Amino acid sequence: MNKPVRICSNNKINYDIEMYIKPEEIYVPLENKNGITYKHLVKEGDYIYKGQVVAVNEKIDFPIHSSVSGYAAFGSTKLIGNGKKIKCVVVKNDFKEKYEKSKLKKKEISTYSKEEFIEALRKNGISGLGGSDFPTFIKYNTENIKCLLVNAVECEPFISCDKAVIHNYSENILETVDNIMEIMKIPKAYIVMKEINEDSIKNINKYIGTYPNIKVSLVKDAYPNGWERLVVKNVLGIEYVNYPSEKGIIVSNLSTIYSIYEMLEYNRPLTERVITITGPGIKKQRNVKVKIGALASEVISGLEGYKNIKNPLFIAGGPMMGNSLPTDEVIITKDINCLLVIEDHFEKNLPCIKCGKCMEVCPVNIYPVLIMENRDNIKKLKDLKPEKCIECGLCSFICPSKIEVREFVRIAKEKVNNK
Amino acid sequence: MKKFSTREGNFMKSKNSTSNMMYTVLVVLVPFIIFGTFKNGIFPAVKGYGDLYTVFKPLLYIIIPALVCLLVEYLYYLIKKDKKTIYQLFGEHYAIIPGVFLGLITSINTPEWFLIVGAVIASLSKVLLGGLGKNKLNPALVGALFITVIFSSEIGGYLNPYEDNVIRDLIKIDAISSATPLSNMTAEGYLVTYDNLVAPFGTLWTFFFGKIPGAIGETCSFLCIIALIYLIYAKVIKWRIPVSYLLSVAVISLIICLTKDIGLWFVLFNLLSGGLLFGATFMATDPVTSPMSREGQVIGGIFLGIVTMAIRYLTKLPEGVLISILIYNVVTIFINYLTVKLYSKKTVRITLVVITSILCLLSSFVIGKNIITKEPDDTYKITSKETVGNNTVYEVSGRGYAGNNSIKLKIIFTGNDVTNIEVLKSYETYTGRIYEEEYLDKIIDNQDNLDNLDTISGCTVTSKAIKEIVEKTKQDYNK
Repeated sequence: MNKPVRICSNNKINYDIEMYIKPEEIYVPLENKNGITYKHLVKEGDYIYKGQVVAVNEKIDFPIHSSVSGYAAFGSTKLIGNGKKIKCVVVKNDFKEKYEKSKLKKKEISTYSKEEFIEALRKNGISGLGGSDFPTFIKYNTENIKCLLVNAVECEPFISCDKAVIHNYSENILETVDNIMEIMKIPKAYIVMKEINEDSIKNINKYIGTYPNIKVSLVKDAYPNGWERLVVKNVLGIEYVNYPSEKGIIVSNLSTIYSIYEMLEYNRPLTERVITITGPGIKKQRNVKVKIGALASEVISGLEGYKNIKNPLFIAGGPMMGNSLPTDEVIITKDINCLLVIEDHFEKNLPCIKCGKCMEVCPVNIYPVLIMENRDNIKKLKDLKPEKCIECGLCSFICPSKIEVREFVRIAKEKVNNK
Repeated sequence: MKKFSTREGNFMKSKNSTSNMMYTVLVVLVPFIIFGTFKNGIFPAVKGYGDLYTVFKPLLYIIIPALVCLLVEYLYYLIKKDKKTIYQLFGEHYAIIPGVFLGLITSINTPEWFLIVGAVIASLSKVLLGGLGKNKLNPALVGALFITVIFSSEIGGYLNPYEDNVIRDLIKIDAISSATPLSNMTAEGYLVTYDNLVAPFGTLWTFFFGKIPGAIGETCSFLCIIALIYLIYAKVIKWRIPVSYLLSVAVISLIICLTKDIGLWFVLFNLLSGGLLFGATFMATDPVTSPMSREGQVIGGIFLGIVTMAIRYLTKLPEGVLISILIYNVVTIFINYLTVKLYSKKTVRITLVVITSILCLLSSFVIGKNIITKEPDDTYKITSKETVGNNTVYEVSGRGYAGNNSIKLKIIFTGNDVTNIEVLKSYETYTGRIYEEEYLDKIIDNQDNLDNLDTISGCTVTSKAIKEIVEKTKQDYNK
């Protein structure tokens, strides 16, 4: 397997978390970034409590909750992270933060059974906050779990929300991991971090002494070390075919663990998350706790707004895998972990000189240059297996001719998948 | 709400760029150019073999083809109605690089206009095959091949007219060196002895520091090794190709050493001569014309080693590097085709690497078959001897460049002296030079002191053979 690549961002950011939890209105998009549609359960003009289910993925009965209380409205479309305009349910915030009565009762953590816990994960809409938006309850619904890996690697440059969470809430994280281990009967857990995050390691080490079954595992500062497969491989030395659950391993993002903490502690559905707002084009670069469904434009204007830079690009996600969006009116959904405004140092493409650097960095060992070359030849494409691509963007990063290699691979991937 | 422009792709780019790679190569070439200027220009001038033009000739030989290549590409794009500025051609199409390389790998006594034609061919072979990134053959090598093949009869080896003397001054031995060490060996019928291959030029250190005849910039192995290490360290070139190339050459010569009972100097001789290190560092690693996958690079490198050694020791062509790299460029197309086919078959790929390695081992027995370690038996023969009055007429035959009995001479003695030499029959390629240089007359003039008579550079073997035949006939006559 190819070695991960060190990427320097030279971006220093304060790990304090700033609250921005008073949006004028929140938007619940009826489709997520993976194209899964949600059905709305409310009507125009309904009063919606905080934590009430607004829409549901009917196939797996997975809800989205309102993160504020207020009246519902319909008919507006807004951008989501993948750049598509999606129909939304709008909830106009009345700033009363009214909970449904039933939500106020808290269940004792020690009384949870495994089934109850998984049901709670589903009911509270906990999903992977690392960017996958994969429902967590499906992940945890496996037998014989031997190991829980908490993925706090966050290998993309600029993104620091997990680091901020671990910096501020390390005690709560450890406590939650311990609770999950108890409920799910998992014998051991690892918190996986980059070895350069010394502050976070110090914070974790302060509390970890009381949890003998939780260990800290450090990985190198390289991209894409935060990729699930590499996390499992680096920590346990295990490789799997499709999902880590095959080998009895669960990999959870750190922010997801924190949302489980909030769920267990306050019986609160997933309505808030920490995101990183950063980049040279932002005046005040911060990690911000926001209501899920808030508009990015509102949050950023609350943070003193933009700096003037040449050719700014607005990116939802990190600089490697994110999408550049035409406006900042984008809904902060569960899968957005970073908003980045950077200068577009787009350089002119030169012809490919077939140096093969992309083949040397590709973490899944495909041949991006050959896929690009044979993009019109479907037979050859099938031999080259572009469907293995995880779209990490390293090929575009490393290319000395500044060719957007990944986009070609992505097109090839679609071609092969559709045939 | 604020509007932003959008684009596809990722938004962070590494610092490496094609321009950086190309400029790094150009900067790395500067010491070679300096070395070439010193060896082929300043040194002979200091020793008194040339004038001011000699000093700048090597430099001109690098600048001229570079400018010609730039001009050809400029005109090509102008004709295609896709006009590009000179800066674009320099900074985006790297038009001068083939020219610079061409200058470094041609001989200093190539006539200027051959060089210009070669540069035109080199540049055309690049742009006509699709321009940067699409050419299948290394442009500089195509140009060099054109020069050496088409004009081979007129170039007359790699040796400077003065280099002969320079080397003798340098190492203070009396042996007469002709063309490059390797053509020496081929000329002597694959005679591999230390005295034949290395001693005329000094020691292997002379080879290492490049004080041997050869192209302008490629002889200094010391610089090549430093450049190779630096370029690999800077990740400009793929390390697998040069390493497997050099290793396979080393392994093949080692096996030949062991089977033919030759000293280990032979391994170093093969690595240090014939511009092998220069080719391995700069030519075989040209990104566009070399295999892309790792296994492909290893296979390509081993293949190069086999072909280079085969050309050196199985054919009449002395210098194998140039042609073997061009053959390898063609094979690369096939290797890259296989790379696609065998993407998901790792075992097949590994097997291919193993097979090529075994082939490399086996090929050494074939390659070594022509090599001899002792001088061939003398085929000198007196076919007739008549005495008419004062004159004694000998008809003798002997071994020349082309093989046994390739030279037939009629030598007439009057009294104690040779008075006439006539070439009755000659299968030699360069017999013409013998007449041009009036060599036969020179032999007659110097007949008492033949050891000190210089051979003709460019047809050394023939002239030496004639000299020896006369010497032997004289011995017979004096008996």
